[in-house]
Amino acid sequence: MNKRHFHQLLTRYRSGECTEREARLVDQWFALIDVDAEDLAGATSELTEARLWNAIRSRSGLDTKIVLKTTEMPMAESKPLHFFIKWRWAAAVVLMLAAFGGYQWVSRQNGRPGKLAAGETLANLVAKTNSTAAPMWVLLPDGSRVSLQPQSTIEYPTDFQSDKREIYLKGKAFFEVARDERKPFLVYTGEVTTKVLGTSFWVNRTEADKAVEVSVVTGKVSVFQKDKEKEARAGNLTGGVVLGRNQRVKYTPDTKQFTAVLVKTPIADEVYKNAFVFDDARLSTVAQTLEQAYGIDIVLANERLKNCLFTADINSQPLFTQLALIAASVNATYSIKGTKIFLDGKGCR
Amino acid sequence: MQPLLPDDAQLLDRLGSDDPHAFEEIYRRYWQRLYDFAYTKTRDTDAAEEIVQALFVVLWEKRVSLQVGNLQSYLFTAVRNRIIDHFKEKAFTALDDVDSPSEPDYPLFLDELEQAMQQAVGQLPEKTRRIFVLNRFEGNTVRQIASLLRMPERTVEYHITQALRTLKKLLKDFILPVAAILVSGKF
Repeated sequence: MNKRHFHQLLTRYRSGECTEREARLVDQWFALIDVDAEDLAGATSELTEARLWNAIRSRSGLDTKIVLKTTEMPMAESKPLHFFIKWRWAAAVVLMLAAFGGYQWVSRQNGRPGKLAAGETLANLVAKTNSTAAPMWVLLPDGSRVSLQPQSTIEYPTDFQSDKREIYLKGKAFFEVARDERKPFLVYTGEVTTKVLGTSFWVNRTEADKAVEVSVVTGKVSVFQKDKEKEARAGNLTGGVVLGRNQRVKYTPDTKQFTAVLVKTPIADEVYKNAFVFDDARLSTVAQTLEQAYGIDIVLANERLKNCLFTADINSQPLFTQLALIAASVNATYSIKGTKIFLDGKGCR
Repeated sequence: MQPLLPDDAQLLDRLGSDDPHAFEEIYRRYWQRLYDFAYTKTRDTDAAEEIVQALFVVLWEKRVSLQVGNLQSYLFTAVRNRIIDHFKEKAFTALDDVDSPSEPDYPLFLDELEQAMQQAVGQLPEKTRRIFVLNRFEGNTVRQIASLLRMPERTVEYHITQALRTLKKLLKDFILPVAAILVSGKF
Protein backbone atom coordinates (compact mmCIF):
# COMPACT_ATOMS: atom_id res chain seq x y z
CA MET A 1 0.00 0.00 0.00
CA ASN A 2 1.31 3.36 -0.96
CA LYS A 3 1.53 5.87 1.84
CA ARG A 4 2.76 8.69 -0.34
CA HIS A 5 -0.16 8.45 -2.74
CA PHE A 6 -2.54 7.98 0.12
CA HIS A 7 -1.20 11.13 1.73
CA GLN A 8 -1.55 12.93 -1.58
CA LEU A 9 -5.13 11.74 -1.93
CA LEU A 10 -6.13 12.93 1.54
CA THR A 11 -4.32 16.24 1.07
CA ARG A 12 -6.15 16.90 -2.18
CA TYR A 13 -9.43 15.91 -0.57
CA ARG A 14 -8.96 18.25 2.36
CA SER A 15 -7.85 21.17 0.23
CA GLY A 16 -11.09 20.83 -1.74
CA GLU A 17 -9.15 20.58 -4.98
CA CYS A 18 -9.86 16.98 -5.83
CA THR A 19 -11.97 15.37 -8.51
CA GLU A 20 -15.38 13.93 -7.79
CA ARG A 21 -13.90 10.48 -8.08
CA GLU A 22 -11.21 11.17 -5.52
CA ALA A 23 -13.83 12.58 -3.17
CA ARG A 24 -15.93 9.48 -3.57
CA LEU A 25 -12.96 7.20 -2.93
CA VAL A 26 -12.11 9.00 0.27
CA ASP A 27 -15.73 8.94 1.39
CA GLN A 28 -15.88 5.22 0.76
CA TRP A 29 -12.57 4.56 2.45
CA PHE A 30 -13.71 6.61 5.44
CA ALA A 31 -16.88 4.55 5.64
CA LEU A 32 -14.88 1.35 5.76
CA ILE A 33 -12.51 2.12 8.60
CA ASP A 34 -14.90 1.74 11.52
CA VAL A 35 -13.92 -0.56 14.29
CA ASP A 36 -16.36 -3.20 15.37
CA ALA A 37 -18.63 -2.12 18.15
CA GLU A 38 -17.04 -4.58 20.56
CA ASP A 39 -13.66 -2.92 20.02
CA LEU A 40 -14.93 0.31 21.48
CA ALA A 41 -12.97 1.11 24.58
CA GLY A 42 -15.85 2.71 26.39
CA ALA A 43 -13.11 4.69 28.04
CA THR A 44 -15.33 7.71 28.25
CA SER A 45 -16.32 8.93 31.62
CA GLU A 46 -16.90 12.00 33.68
CA LEU A 47 -13.17 12.12 34.19
CA THR A 48 -12.50 12.33 30.49
CA GLU A 49 -15.20 14.94 30.15
CA ALA A 50 -13.66 17.09 32.89
CA ARG A 51 -10.10 16.63 31.69
CA LEU A 52 -10.95 17.56 28.10
CA TRP A 53 -12.93 20.56 29.26
CA ASN A 54 -10.06 21.84 31.38
CA ALA A 55 -7.66 21.44 28.49
CA ILE A 56 -10.02 23.26 26.15
CA ARG A 57 -10.45 26.12 28.60
CA SER A 58 -6.77 26.57 29.18
CA ARG A 59 -5.91 26.26 25.49
CA SER A 60 -8.48 28.81 24.43
CA GLY A 61 -7.52 31.22 27.22
CA LEU A 62 -11.19 31.20 28.00
CA ASP A 63 -11.07 32.19 31.63
CA THR A 64 -9.18 35.40 31.05
CA LYS A 65 -11.55 36.40 28.30
CA ILE A 66 -14.66 35.72 30.34
CA VAL A 67 -13.38 37.80 33.16
CA LEU A 68 -12.52 40.81 31.04
CA LYS A 69 -15.71 40.71 29.03
CA THR A 70 -18.18 40.46 31.84
CA THR A 71 -16.76 43.23 33.94
CA GLU A 72 -15.88 46.12 31.69
CA MET A 73 -19.31 47.56 31.16
CA PRO A 74 -20.79 48.01 34.61
CA MET A 75 -17.53 48.95 36.27
CA ALA A 76 -16.62 51.61 33.75
CA GLU A 77 -19.86 53.40 34.47
CA SER A 78 -19.78 53.34 38.21
CA LYS A 79 -16.14 53.84 39.14
CA PRO A 80 -13.42 56.26 38.25
CA LEU A 81 -10.80 54.77 35.98
CA HIS A 82 -8.08 54.09 38.52
CA PHE A 83 -10.54 52.12 40.59
CA PHE A 84 -11.73 50.23 37.59
CA ILE A 85 -8.29 48.85 36.90
CA LYS A 86 -7.68 47.87 40.44
CA TRP A 87 -11.06 46.31 41.00
CA ARG A 88 -11.98 44.57 37.83
CA TRP A 89 -10.53 41.24 38.88
CA ALA A 90 -12.47 41.24 42.10
CA ALA A 91 -15.67 42.09 40.36
CA ALA A 92 -15.01 39.42 37.82
CA VAL A 93 -14.85 36.73 40.43
CA VAL A 94 -18.11 37.86 41.96
CA LEU A 95 -19.79 37.79 38.57
CA MET A 96 -18.45 34.38 37.76
CA LEU A 97 -19.76 33.09 41.04
CA ALA A 98 -23.13 34.55 40.50
CA ALA A 99 -23.24 33.02 37.09
CA PHE A 100 -22.26 29.53 38.13
CA GLY A 101 -24.19 29.69 41.35
CA GLY A 102 -23.17 26.35 42.70
CA TYR A 103 -19.87 27.11 44.32
CA GLN A 104 -19.48 26.53 47.99
CA TRP A 105 -17.02 28.69 49.76
CA VAL A 106 -15.50 27.57 52.97
CA SER A 107 -14.18 30.72 54.47
CA ARG A 108 -12.65 31.26 57.84
CA GLN A 109 -11.61 34.52 59.31
CA ASN A 110 -9.74 33.03 62.26
CA GLY A 111 -6.08 32.89 61.69
CA ARG A 112 -4.10 29.71 62.05
CA PRO A 113 -0.87 31.05 63.50
CA GLY A 114 0.58 27.58 63.80
CA LYS A 115 0.93 27.41 60.04
CA LEU A 116 2.50 30.80 59.59
CA ALA A 117 6.14 31.01 58.78
CA ALA A 118 8.33 32.58 61.45
CA GLY A 119 8.40 36.34 61.19
CA GLU A 120 4.99 36.62 59.60
CA THR A 121 2.71 39.11 61.24
CA LEU A 122 -0.43 37.72 62.75
CA ALA A 123 -2.50 38.38 59.70
CA ASN A 124 -5.82 36.64 59.34
CA LEU A 125 -5.78 33.65 57.08
CA VAL A 126 -8.56 32.86 54.68
CA ALA A 127 -9.06 29.30 53.53
CA LYS A 128 -10.89 28.46 50.32
CA THR A 129 -11.85 24.96 49.31
CA ASN A 130 -13.20 24.02 45.94
CA SER A 131 -15.73 21.32 46.63
CA THR A 132 -17.27 21.54 43.18
CA ALA A 133 -16.40 19.49 40.12
CA ALA A 134 -15.12 22.46 38.13
CA PRO A 135 -12.06 24.66 38.63
CA MET A 136 -12.72 27.82 40.61
CA TRP A 137 -11.02 31.19 40.35
CA VAL A 138 -9.82 32.77 43.56
CA LEU A 139 -8.62 36.34 43.67
CA LEU A 140 -5.81 37.14 46.04
CA PRO A 141 -5.48 40.51 47.80
CA ASP A 142 -2.61 41.56 45.50
CA GLY A 143 -4.61 41.04 42.30
CA SER A 144 -3.12 37.64 41.53
CA ARG A 145 -5.54 34.96 40.49
CA VAL A 146 -5.68 31.30 41.31
CA SER A 147 -7.64 28.70 39.43
CA LEU A 148 -8.32 26.26 42.21
CA GLN A 149 -8.98 22.75 40.95
CA PRO A 150 -11.68 20.51 42.44
CA GLN A 151 -10.91 19.05 45.89
CA SER A 152 -8.16 21.58 46.48
CA THR A 153 -7.69 24.13 49.24
CA ILE A 154 -5.65 27.28 49.48
CA GLU A 155 -4.99 29.48 52.46
CA TYR A 156 -3.69 33.01 52.34
CA PRO A 157 -3.73 36.16 54.49
CA THR A 158 -6.58 38.61 54.01
CA ASP A 159 -3.91 41.19 53.37
CA PHE A 160 -0.32 40.63 52.25
CA GLN A 161 1.21 42.95 54.84
CA SER A 162 4.58 41.36 55.28
CA ASP A 163 7.48 41.50 52.88
CA LYS A 164 6.31 38.44 51.00
CA ARG A 165 3.14 36.91 49.63
CA GLU A 166 2.67 33.47 51.14
CA ILE A 167 0.10 30.93 50.03
CA TYR A 168 -0.52 27.42 51.32
CA LEU A 169 -1.83 24.89 48.86
CA LYS A 170 -3.27 21.44 49.21
CA GLY A 171 -4.17 19.89 45.87
CA LYS A 172 -3.79 21.45 42.47
CA ALA A 173 -3.98 25.03 41.28
CA PHE A 174 -3.02 27.31 38.43
CA PHE A 175 -1.53 30.67 39.41
CA GLU A 176 -1.45 33.95 37.54
CA VAL A 177 0.74 36.13 39.63
CA ALA A 178 0.59 39.91 39.70
CA ARG A 179 4.00 41.48 39.33
CA ASP A 180 5.41 42.93 42.51
CA GLU A 181 9.15 42.62 42.75
CA ARG A 182 9.30 43.88 46.30
CA LYS A 183 7.14 41.06 47.59
CA PRO A 184 8.15 37.61 46.42
CA PHE A 185 5.29 35.21 45.83
CA LEU A 186 5.73 31.88 47.58
CA VAL A 187 3.56 28.79 47.41
CA TYR A 188 4.00 26.18 50.13
CA THR A 189 2.98 22.64 49.30
CA GLY A 190 4.07 20.12 51.86
CA GLU A 191 7.83 20.06 51.93
CA VAL A 192 8.23 22.08 48.78
CA THR A 193 8.26 25.81 48.23
CA THR A 194 7.73 27.38 44.84
CA LYS A 195 8.97 30.94 44.43
CA VAL A 196 7.69 32.95 41.54
CA LEU A 197 10.14 34.84 39.42
CA GLY A 198 7.66 35.32 36.60
CA THR A 199 3.97 34.97 35.95
CA SER A 200 1.93 31.80 35.60
CA PHE A 201 2.38 28.20 36.59
CA TRP A 202 0.73 25.03 37.91
CA VAL A 203 1.31 23.41 41.26
CA ASN A 204 -0.03 19.93 41.84
CA ARG A 205 0.30 17.99 45.02
CA THR A 206 -1.19 14.56 45.20
CA GLU A 207 -2.10 13.57 48.73
CA ALA A 208 -1.32 9.92 48.13
CA ASP A 209 2.36 10.02 47.33
CA LYS A 210 3.18 13.45 48.71
CA ALA A 211 4.98 14.17 45.48
CA VAL A 212 4.72 17.72 44.21
CA GLU A 213 4.58 18.75 40.61
CA VAL A 214 5.15 22.26 39.34
CA SER A 215 4.89 23.27 35.70
CA VAL A 216 5.51 26.67 34.19
CA VAL A 217 3.29 28.24 31.56
CA THR A 218 4.93 31.64 31.33
CA GLY A 219 7.80 33.23 33.18
CA LYS A 220 10.09 31.56 35.67
CA VAL A 221 9.81 29.99 39.09
CA SER A 222 12.29 28.43 41.44
CA VAL A 223 11.43 25.34 43.41
CA PHE A 224 13.23 24.16 46.53
CA GLN A 225 12.77 22.39 49.82
CA LYS A 226 10.81 24.38 52.34
CA ASP A 227 13.62 24.60 54.88
CA LYS A 228 16.11 25.81 52.28
CA GLU A 229 14.54 29.17 51.64
CA LYS A 230 17.46 31.20 52.95
CA GLU A 231 19.88 29.41 50.67
CA ALA A 232 17.53 29.83 47.76
CA ARG A 233 17.27 33.55 48.37
CA ALA A 234 21.02 33.87 48.42
CA GLY A 235 21.02 32.34 44.97
CA ASN A 236 22.32 29.02 46.14
CA LEU A 237 19.95 26.52 44.63
CA THR A 238 21.62 23.28 45.54
CA GLY A 239 18.85 20.76 45.78
CA GLY A 240 16.39 23.04 44.01
CA VAL A 241 15.82 24.10 40.43
CA VAL A 242 14.79 27.12 38.40
CA LEU A 243 12.09 26.33 35.89
CA GLY A 244 11.40 28.17 32.66
CA ARG A 245 8.52 28.09 30.24
CA ASN A 246 7.14 24.65 29.31
CA GLN A 247 9.20 22.97 31.99
CA ARG A 248 7.97 21.11 35.00
CA VAL A 249 9.58 19.60 38.02
CA LYS A 250 8.73 16.59 40.05
CA TYR A 251 9.77 16.38 43.67
CA THR A 252 10.05 13.02 45.35
CA PRO A 253 10.18 13.36 49.14
CA ASP A 254 11.91 10.05 49.79
CA THR A 255 15.01 11.00 47.89
CA LYS A 256 14.53 14.78 48.24
CA GLN A 257 15.18 14.91 44.51
CA PHE A 258 14.03 17.59 42.10
CA THR A 259 13.93 16.55 38.47
CA ALA A 260 13.31 19.10 35.74
CA VAL A 261 11.65 17.83 32.58
CA LEU A 262 9.46 19.20 29.80
CA VAL A 263 5.71 19.52 30.23
CA LYS A 264 3.60 16.94 28.38
CA THR A 265 2.17 19.37 25.87
CA PRO A 266 4.41 22.41 25.44
CA ILE A 267 2.54 25.52 24.37
CA ALA A 268 3.99 28.00 21.89
CA ASP A 269 4.05 31.68 22.69
CA GLU A 270 1.01 33.41 21.20
CA VAL A 271 3.26 35.55 18.99
CA TYR A 272 4.53 32.44 17.21
CA LYS A 273 1.10 30.97 16.62
CA ASN A 274 1.41 31.09 12.83
CA ALA A 275 5.18 31.07 12.55
CA PHE A 276 5.55 27.43 11.66
CA VAL A 277 5.37 27.66 7.90
CA PHE A 278 8.64 26.72 6.26
CA ASP A 279 9.62 26.84 2.62
CA ASP A 280 13.04 25.35 1.97
CA ALA A 281 14.15 26.66 5.34
CA ARG A 282 17.47 25.52 6.76
CA LEU A 283 17.08 23.26 9.74
CA SER A 284 19.06 25.67 11.89
CA THR A 285 16.38 28.29 11.23
CA VAL A 286 13.57 25.83 11.87
CA ALA A 287 15.13 24.79 15.17
CA GLN A 288 15.62 28.41 16.18
CA THR A 289 11.98 29.23 15.48
CA LEU A 290 10.85 26.32 17.63
CA GLU A 291 13.28 27.30 20.38
CA GLN A 292 11.93 30.82 20.53
CA ALA A 293 8.30 29.79 20.26
CA TYR A 294 8.44 27.23 23.02
CA GLY A 295 11.37 28.48 25.09
CA ILE A 296 12.92 25.01 24.85
CA ASP A 297 16.51 24.30 23.85
CA ILE A 298 16.80 22.31 20.66
CA VAL A 299 20.20 20.82 20.00
CA LEU A 300 21.29 19.67 16.55
CA ALA A 301 23.60 16.85 17.49
CA ASN A 302 25.27 16.80 14.10
CA GLU A 303 26.56 20.03 12.50
CA ARG A 304 25.53 18.74 9.09
CA LEU A 305 21.87 18.73 10.09
CA LYS A 306 21.92 22.51 9.83
CA ASN A 307 22.21 22.21 6.06
CA CYS A 308 19.04 20.18 5.66
CA LEU A 309 16.07 21.96 4.17
CA PHE A 310 12.52 21.66 5.45
CA THR A 311 9.25 22.57 3.75
CA ALA A 312 5.86 22.24 5.42
CA ASP A 313 3.06 24.06 7.16
CA ILE A 314 3.06 22.67 10.68
CA ASN A 315 1.12 25.47 12.39
CA SER A 316 -1.65 23.26 13.65
CA GLN A 317 0.48 20.49 15.16
CA PRO A 318 1.60 20.19 18.76
CA LEU A 319 5.35 20.39 19.36
CA PHE A 320 6.08 16.70 19.44
CA THR A 321 4.25 16.10 16.17
CA GLN A 322 6.11 19.03 14.64
CA LEU A 323 9.36 17.43 15.73
CA ALA A 324 8.36 14.04 14.35
CA LEU A 325 7.49 15.60 11.00
CA ILE A 326 10.73 17.55 10.86
CA ALA A 327 12.79 14.54 11.89
CA ALA A 328 11.06 12.28 9.33
CA SER A 329 11.67 14.71 6.51
CA VAL A 330 15.41 15.04 7.13
CA ASN A 331 15.93 11.41 8.06
CA ALA A 332 16.73 12.21 11.65
CA THR A 333 15.38 11.21 15.03
CA TYR A 334 14.54 13.36 18.00
CA SER A 335 14.89 12.58 21.67
CA ILE A 336 14.17 14.42 24.88
CA LYS A 337 16.78 14.57 27.59
CA GLY A 338 15.77 16.50 30.67
CA THR A 339 14.55 19.85 29.39
CA LYS A 340 16.35 19.72 26.07
CA ILE A 341 15.43 18.23 22.72
CA PHE A 342 18.10 16.58 20.58
CA LEU A 343 17.86 16.02 16.85
CA ASP A 344 20.28 13.50 15.49
CA GLY A 345 20.92 12.11 12.03
CA LYS A 346 23.38 12.00 9.20
CA GLY A 347 22.51 15.48 8.04
CA CYS A 348 22.82 17.00 4.61
CA ARG A 349 25.60 18.42 2.46
CA MET B 1 -37.62 17.24 26.50
CA GLN B 2 -36.89 19.79 29.13
CA PRO B 3 -38.32 23.11 28.09
CA LEU B 4 -35.67 25.02 30.06
CA LEU B 5 -32.78 23.78 27.94
CA PRO B 6 -31.85 26.18 25.15
CA ASP B 7 -31.92 24.69 21.66
CA ASP B 8 -28.90 24.58 19.37
CA ALA B 9 -29.87 27.71 17.49
CA GLN B 10 -30.10 29.70 20.73
CA LEU B 11 -26.76 28.32 21.86
CA LEU B 12 -25.18 29.36 18.56
CA ASP B 13 -26.61 32.85 18.96
CA ARG B 14 -25.25 33.18 22.48
CA LEU B 15 -21.91 31.76 21.43
CA GLY B 16 -21.73 34.40 18.71
CA SER B 17 -22.15 37.07 21.35
CA ASP B 18 -19.26 35.73 23.44
CA ASP B 19 -21.22 33.74 26.00
CA PRO B 20 -18.87 31.20 27.62
CA HIS B 21 -21.79 29.37 29.23
CA ALA B 22 -23.27 28.65 25.84
CA PHE B 23 -19.87 27.31 24.84
CA GLU B 24 -19.78 25.04 27.84
CA GLU B 25 -23.31 23.83 27.17
CA ILE B 26 -22.36 22.94 23.60
CA TYR B 27 -19.37 21.04 24.90
CA ARG B 28 -21.42 19.10 27.46
CA ARG B 29 -24.04 18.30 24.88
CA TYR B 30 -21.76 17.05 22.10
CA TRP B 31 -18.33 16.05 23.38
CA GLN B 32 -19.20 12.40 23.95
CA ARG B 33 -20.68 11.76 20.53
CA LEU B 34 -17.81 13.55 18.82
CA TYR B 35 -15.28 11.66 20.89
CA ASP B 36 -16.92 8.30 20.17
CA PHE B 37 -16.96 9.08 16.46
CA ALA B 38 -13.28 10.03 16.49
CA TYR B 39 -12.40 6.94 18.47
CA THR B 40 -14.39 4.60 16.22
CA LYS B 41 -12.42 5.83 13.25
CA THR B 42 -8.96 6.23 14.75
CA ARG B 43 -8.93 3.48 17.42
CA ASP B 44 -6.66 5.79 19.33
CA THR B 45 -7.84 7.43 22.55
CA ASP B 46 -5.08 10.06 22.51
CA ALA B 47 -5.90 11.02 18.96
CA ALA B 48 -9.62 11.14 19.72
CA GLU B 49 -9.03 13.43 22.71
CA GLU B 50 -6.76 15.73 20.77
CA ILE B 51 -9.26 15.94 17.92
CA VAL B 52 -12.12 16.89 20.24
CA GLN B 53 -10.00 19.39 22.16
CA ALA B 54 -8.72 21.14 19.06
CA LEU B 55 -12.19 21.26 17.59
CA PHE B 56 -13.63 23.09 20.59
CA VAL B 57 -10.66 25.44 20.93
CA VAL B 58 -11.20 26.50 17.32
CA LEU B 59 -14.96 26.77 17.82
CA TRP B 60 -14.35 29.28 20.61
CA GLU B 61 -11.72 31.16 18.62
CA LYS B 62 -14.08 31.54 15.68
CA ARG B 63 -17.23 32.13 17.70
CA VAL B 64 -17.88 35.63 16.43
CA SER B 65 -17.19 35.05 12.75
CA LEU B 66 -18.85 31.65 12.63
CA GLN B 67 -21.58 31.19 10.00
CA VAL B 68 -23.35 28.02 10.98
CA GLY B 69 -26.87 26.94 10.13
CA ASN B 70 -26.96 23.65 11.93
CA LEU B 71 -24.70 23.20 14.93
CA GLN B 72 -24.79 19.42 14.93
CA SER B 73 -23.86 18.96 11.30
CA TYR B 74 -21.19 21.63 11.63
CA LEU B 75 -19.60 19.77 14.55
CA PHE B 76 -19.73 16.41 12.85
CA THR B 77 -18.28 17.76 9.61
CA ALA B 78 -15.53 19.41 11.61
CA VAL B 79 -14.70 16.26 13.52
CA ARG B 80 -14.71 14.23 10.30
CA ASN B 81 -12.25 16.65 8.70
CA ARG B 82 -10.02 16.42 11.73
CA ILE B 83 -10.11 12.63 11.61
CA ILE B 84 -9.05 12.68 7.96
CA ASP B 85 -6.29 15.16 8.84
CA HIS B 86 -5.17 12.75 11.52
CA PHE B 87 -4.77 9.96 8.94
CA LYS B 88 -3.07 12.38 6.58
CA GLU B 89 -0.50 13.24 9.24
CA LYS B 90 -0.01 9.61 10.07
CA ALA B 91 0.60 8.75 6.44
CA PHE B 92 3.08 11.60 6.29
CA THR B 93 4.89 10.55 9.45
CA ALA B 94 5.04 6.97 8.20
CA LEU B 95 6.79 7.99 4.98
CA ASP B 96 10.13 6.34 5.30
CA ASP B 97 12.13 7.18 2.24
CA VAL B 98 12.10 10.10 -0.11
CA ASP B 99 12.70 8.12 -3.30
CA SER B 100 11.08 4.80 -3.98
CA PRO B 101 11.13 4.46 -7.76
CA SER B 102 9.19 1.22 -7.78
CA GLU B 103 5.97 2.96 -6.76
CA PRO B 104 3.22 3.01 -9.33
CA ASP B 105 2.02 6.47 -10.20
CA TYR B 106 -0.86 8.28 -8.60
CA PRO B 107 -3.63 7.59 -11.16
CA LEU B 108 -2.81 3.91 -10.96
CA PHE B 109 -3.03 4.07 -7.21
CA LEU B 110 -6.53 5.53 -7.46
CA ASP B 111 -7.56 2.72 -9.82
CA GLU B 112 -6.25 0.12 -7.45
CA LEU B 113 -7.95 1.65 -4.46
CA GLU B 114 -11.26 1.91 -6.26
CA GLN B 115 -11.03 -1.60 -7.60
CA ALA B 116 -10.19 -3.08 -4.24
CA MET B 117 -13.10 -1.39 -2.54
CA GLN B 118 -15.58 -2.21 -5.29
CA GLN B 119 -14.54 -5.83 -5.46
CA ALA B 120 -14.78 -6.23 -1.75
CA VAL B 121 -18.21 -4.66 -1.56
CA GLY B 122 -19.26 -6.73 -4.60
CA GLN B 123 -18.52 -9.89 -2.74
CA LEU B 124 -20.99 -9.15 0.01
CA PRO B 125 -24.30 -11.08 -0.07
CA GLU B 126 -26.81 -9.05 -2.02
CA LYS B 127 -29.02 -7.90 0.80
CA THR B 128 -26.08 -7.02 3.00
CA ARG B 129 -24.47 -5.12 0.16
CA ARG B 130 -27.58 -3.13 -0.57
CA ILE B 131 -27.98 -2.10 3.05
CA PHE B 132 -24.31 -1.34 3.44
CA VAL B 133 -24.17 0.86 0.33
CA LEU B 134 -27.33 2.70 1.37
CA ASN B 135 -25.85 3.34 4.78
CA ARG B 136 -22.15 3.89 4.26
CA PHE B 137 -21.85 5.22 0.75
CA GLU B 138 -25.15 7.00 0.38
CA GLY B 139 -25.49 8.28 3.90
CA ASN B 140 -28.92 6.94 4.88
CA THR B 141 -29.59 6.37 8.55
CA VAL B 142 -30.50 2.98 9.93
CA ARG B 143 -34.04 4.18 10.49
CA GLN B 144 -34.42 5.44 6.92
CA ILE B 145 -33.18 2.13 5.54
CA ALA B 146 -35.46 0.18 7.82
CA SER B 147 -38.52 2.02 6.58
CA LEU B 148 -37.34 1.92 2.96
CA LEU B 149 -36.78 -1.84 2.98
CA ARG B 150 -39.56 -2.56 5.47
CA MET B 151 -37.48 -4.44 7.94
CA PRO B 152 -36.70 -3.98 11.65
CA GLU B 153 -33.89 -1.54 12.52
CA ARG B 154 -32.12 -4.31 14.36
CA THR B 155 -31.90 -6.34 11.14
CA VAL B 156 -30.43 -3.35 9.31
CA GLU B 157 -27.84 -2.93 12.04
CA TYR B 158 -27.01 -6.61 11.84
CA HIS B 159 -26.31 -6.42 8.11
CA ILE B 160 -24.10 -3.37 8.54
CA THR B 161 -22.03 -5.05 11.23
CA GLN B 162 -21.72 -8.18 9.09
CA ALA B 163 -20.66 -6.09 6.11
CA LEU B 164 -17.96 -4.27 8.04
CA ARG B 165 -16.65 -7.50 9.41
CA THR B 166 -16.52 -9.20 6.01
CA LEU B 167 -14.99 -6.16 4.33
CA LYS B 168 -12.28 -6.04 6.90
CA LYS B 169 -11.30 -9.57 5.91
CA LEU B 170 -11.66 -9.01 2.17
CA LEU B 171 -9.73 -5.77 2.16
CA LYS B 172 -7.01 -6.79 4.50
CA ASP B 173 -4.49 -6.97 1.67
CA PHE B 174 -5.34 -3.55 0.49
CA ILE B 175 -7.20 -1.26 2.78
CA LEU B 176 -6.08 -2.75 6.00
CA PRO B 177 -2.37 -2.33 5.38
CA VAL B 178 -3.20 1.34 5.05
CA ALA B 179 -5.54 1.38 7.93
CA ALA B 180 -3.30 -0.82 10.02
CA ILE B 181 -0.20 1.26 9.47
CA LEU B 182 -2.10 4.45 9.78
CA VAL B 183 -4.32 3.46 12.58
CA SER B 184 -2.11 1.24 14.62
CA GLY B 185 -0.14 2.69 17.49
CA LYS B 186 -2.40 0.86 19.87
CA PHE B 187 -2.36 -2.50 18.18
